[in-house]
Amino acid sequence: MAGTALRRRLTWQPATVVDLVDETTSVRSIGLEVDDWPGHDAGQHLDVRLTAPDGYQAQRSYSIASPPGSRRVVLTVQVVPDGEVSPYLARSLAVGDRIEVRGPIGGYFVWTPAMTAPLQLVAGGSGIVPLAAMLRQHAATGTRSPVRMLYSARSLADVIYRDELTALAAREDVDVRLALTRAAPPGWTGYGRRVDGPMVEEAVWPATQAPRVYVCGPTSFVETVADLLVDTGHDPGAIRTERFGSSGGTP
Amino acid sequence: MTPDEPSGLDGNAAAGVLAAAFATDMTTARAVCGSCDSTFVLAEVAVYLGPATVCRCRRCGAVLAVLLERQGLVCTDLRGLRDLDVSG
Repeated sequence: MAGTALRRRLTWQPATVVDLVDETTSVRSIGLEVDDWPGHDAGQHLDVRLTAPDGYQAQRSYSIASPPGSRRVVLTVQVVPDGEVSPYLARSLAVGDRIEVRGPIGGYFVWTPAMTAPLQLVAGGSGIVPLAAMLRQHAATGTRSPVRMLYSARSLADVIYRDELTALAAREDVDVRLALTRAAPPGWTGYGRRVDGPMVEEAVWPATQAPRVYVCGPTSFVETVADLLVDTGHDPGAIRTERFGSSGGTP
Repeated sequence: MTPDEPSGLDGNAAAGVLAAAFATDMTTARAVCGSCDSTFVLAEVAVYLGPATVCRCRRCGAVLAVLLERQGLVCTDLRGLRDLDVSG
């Protein structure tokens, strides 16, 4: 249980890379074997620490993509141009490599099956990762709370977990809608624009259903969606947000 | 004193160093900005990662906290936070 895990002292421990999957041209999933992994909740993070031969260390936080209870801890990492950690993780890491991790981390952007309200997931780009952990756990536990996902990506080629999302969308209690913002293939029947008010009205649980809402993506995406949700009557207290992006520029 | 460019990250990305400093999850902790009086949970603050983790108020840009982790120790400066409530 995460409650127990959070009370543990947070310590760095070795993890072994056991699996690498290219999700798109700039996104890679990294399967890790972590000794004594205490388990996690969907939406939680893992800190990764890299140490250079001269002792210089860099660390970053990544969302866990795998659902609770899975044998491996899977991170899905998008290359941030000029990033310090992500290019190494997404391009250079090889099966058998060892890295240092600590976690699970975070209690704010978390969903558990005990939350029975309708579940609304809104993802922008690689913001899909923690939401995928929620969707995967939702599918695995067969919870009766219905789930809707609205996922905005540049093009179909940029959609992470595309085949899996298509398969999950076939389930009766799961609704997945894609919004392609830059290029849509011929005959595309999904949305072909950025998330806007009419799209939120159509694709998101109405406020009257009192859904629990998770929004994850780049800062501008998250702010836009959160504002649209509040404008359409959603309780700000029921909206959880997480912003992805660069390490933040000049502090 | 405001950041030169908006942060791409929020307090969720600082959850690890915050947990290392406070020995508990802090992303759900409520606090008040000492400069503009806005109230928020720490998950919502603007975070900048560099040699140190800098947390700024999303509304007014004031520095709320600076955390520097080194050799298992966390040097924590909560200069701009008021009424930090860990009970969530």
